[in-house]
Amino acid sequence: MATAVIMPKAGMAMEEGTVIKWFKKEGDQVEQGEPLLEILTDKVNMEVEAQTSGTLIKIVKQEGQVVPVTNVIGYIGAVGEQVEDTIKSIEDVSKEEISENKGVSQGNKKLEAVIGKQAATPAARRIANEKDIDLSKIRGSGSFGEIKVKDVLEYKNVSITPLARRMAEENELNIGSMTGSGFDGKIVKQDIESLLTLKEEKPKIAGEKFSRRPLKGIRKIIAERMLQSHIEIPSVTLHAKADVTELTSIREKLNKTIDIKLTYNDFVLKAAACALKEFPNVNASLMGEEILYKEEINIGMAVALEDGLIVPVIKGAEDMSIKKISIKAKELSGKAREGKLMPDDMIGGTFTVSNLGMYDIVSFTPIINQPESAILGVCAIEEELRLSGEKIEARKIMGLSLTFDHRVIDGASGAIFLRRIKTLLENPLEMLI
Amino acid sequence: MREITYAQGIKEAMSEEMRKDENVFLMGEDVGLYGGAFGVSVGMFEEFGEERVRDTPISEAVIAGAAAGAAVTGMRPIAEIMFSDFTTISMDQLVNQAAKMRYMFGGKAKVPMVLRTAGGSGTGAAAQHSQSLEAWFCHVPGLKVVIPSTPYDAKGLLKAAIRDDNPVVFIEQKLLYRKKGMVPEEDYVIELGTADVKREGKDLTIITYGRMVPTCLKVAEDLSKEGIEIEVVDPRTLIPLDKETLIKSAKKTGRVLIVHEAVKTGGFGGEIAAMIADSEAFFYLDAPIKRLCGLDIPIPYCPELEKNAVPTEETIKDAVLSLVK
Repeated sequence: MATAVIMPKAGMAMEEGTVIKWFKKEGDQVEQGEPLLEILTDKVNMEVEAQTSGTLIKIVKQEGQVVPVTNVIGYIGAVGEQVEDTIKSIEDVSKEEISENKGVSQGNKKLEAVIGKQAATPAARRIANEKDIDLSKIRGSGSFGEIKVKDVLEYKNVSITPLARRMAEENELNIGSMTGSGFDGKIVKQDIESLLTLKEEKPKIAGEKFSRRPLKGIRKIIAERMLQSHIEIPSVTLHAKADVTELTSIREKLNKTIDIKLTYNDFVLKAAACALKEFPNVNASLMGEEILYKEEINIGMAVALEDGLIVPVIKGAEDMSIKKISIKAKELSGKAREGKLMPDDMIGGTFTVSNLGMYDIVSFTPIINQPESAILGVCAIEEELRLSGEKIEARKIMGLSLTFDHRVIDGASGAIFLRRIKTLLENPLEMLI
Repeated sequence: MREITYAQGIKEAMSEEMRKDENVFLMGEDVGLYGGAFGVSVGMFEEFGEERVRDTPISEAVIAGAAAGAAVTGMRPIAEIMFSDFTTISMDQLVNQAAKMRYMFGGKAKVPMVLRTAGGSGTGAAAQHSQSLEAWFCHVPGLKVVIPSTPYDAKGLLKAAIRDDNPVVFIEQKLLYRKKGMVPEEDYVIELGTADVKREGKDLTIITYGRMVPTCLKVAEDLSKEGIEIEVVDPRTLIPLDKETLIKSAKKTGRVLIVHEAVKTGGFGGEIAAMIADSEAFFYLDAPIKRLCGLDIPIPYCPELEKNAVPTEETIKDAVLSLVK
């Protein structure tokens, strides 16, 4: 019977995925563990590996199609084998497999599978229990398919495809402490290949001290997106200084009377939302041959994580009070740090605010988060002495850095937009109306 | 220490005990002038005379019965049954008399007898002279059962058996009589119920006894070259059984192969397997406990078939590999 290829559920919140590209066409041979197609999930591209070897006998979902998770997107089987055209979810398929196959032993050496039970030696069970390892996640290497002590010890943290395992064994690679780039850290063929490449290169750089980490996961996505933005966009960065002395005192007063604590960033977000409403040419995206001017103002806020950064989006910021913005911003950054953001929290941004003020940065050149057209960098607030008429006054000055896409926004209009934000921050009462 | 044969070890044990204790005597078919069917008692007739090395009629019932009777009167008889196959004729005396008396007389009667007999195949003696019937005796409370695998063990265990106040069935191995080994000249006794680790290993435990011990040791040496370290444990006495040593080894290696020449069905290997499965060693097992035993057939007369009716180096090796794979 043909094996169904399904849209994997690559994350708790994932409900559907898009078929990006099939690496194989109907009739091609595929090997277990070999990348079969690429899908898009939660803004992350990932490869789906063949779970079995055989011929790709049918592609059910074409490139570009959006498919709910666990739904069948193709079939692997024997040449000439027919499959039904109706699309079944994996639940249906597995139910059928159970009724068809269970009770029939697969060859004379394999144990008859008992649903819900795992064949394992007593010692393997004891050790798995001690280490709190779920036996159902382990592949048994015993002659009856039973899990042995070796399998439990090897399992530890290693999740690996059969193809990758074989490659690792053939090349005598130690995969014990490795985390893969596949789903849930699974080690896939590419990981072994890159490890092998590193291994080959090693002699050339002998004598130097360094550690290596494969480019994968969020780091890989950041790398790709940053490079793409940097290459594609002719960007200009403008720097301005906003006098936030008045804002500082208003913020202090407000924080004494209201039940939440407003941050400077909340004011900047609000100022950006106000300014974007007035300058629709900044709240825009260049898409191929046209520029889309967005009516919704969705402001992304860059949140630094331990390894990487993530940009959750405050949606509909144009209609939100500063208090609402503050509450939403706190909720999103909290979720981001706990890794609880839903894909929905990260899509649809039209403008981004990136704040490095807490690190005493005076100006920087942020990179635009595509497909947006501009990003505002928020810098530190510094005490400065300024001339006010004949008098010298101590003022609080915040640095602002706006990077914009010069294809979409001209230098002058970018400057006017930034000046508008500056004005709003210097006269904060206007924002509060 | 000097090198002597298994048969000489047995003779030395008997002779030394007879010199020490005048109540000890030997009886059996052709044990006297002829020196025993396998030459074990050669020279003893000359040393101790016909009173203490007594030829008997060809009646295994009489041999066992007379020994049991002599034992309760205070003698310490060593009774020889030429082939263990014919202990079946002694069974009523052994099972219903010798094994029961101490219990039924509330401990007032002792039955300090040894029933020596020769077991096992490999001599071309066909189905009625080649059996391994140790499991029969193990099933009877009141009997002790000993099967030595080396000259050292044979001598030390037989001395312990002679000094024991209970009936002991001492099963010698025909194929081992001529095997040599180092044995001390001074007096020593091996306590009944003490197993011996004949070879240490970490990958698998073979529990075996009697003539399968040297065969298993040979396999262990061979497989050591392939990186498999086998522990060979010889219980030496099946009753009483040194469970502790067997369990300890099973826990250590996590894999147990039980090898004996006796047929599998109803064999003592099943008892050992069950005992281990029933112990804390169960939680250390990484493979099913496997038994490799004689086939469930009478021992054939045809030499090729006879050889292959019981475990061989090849079949033991295969069984080991199937477990350590």
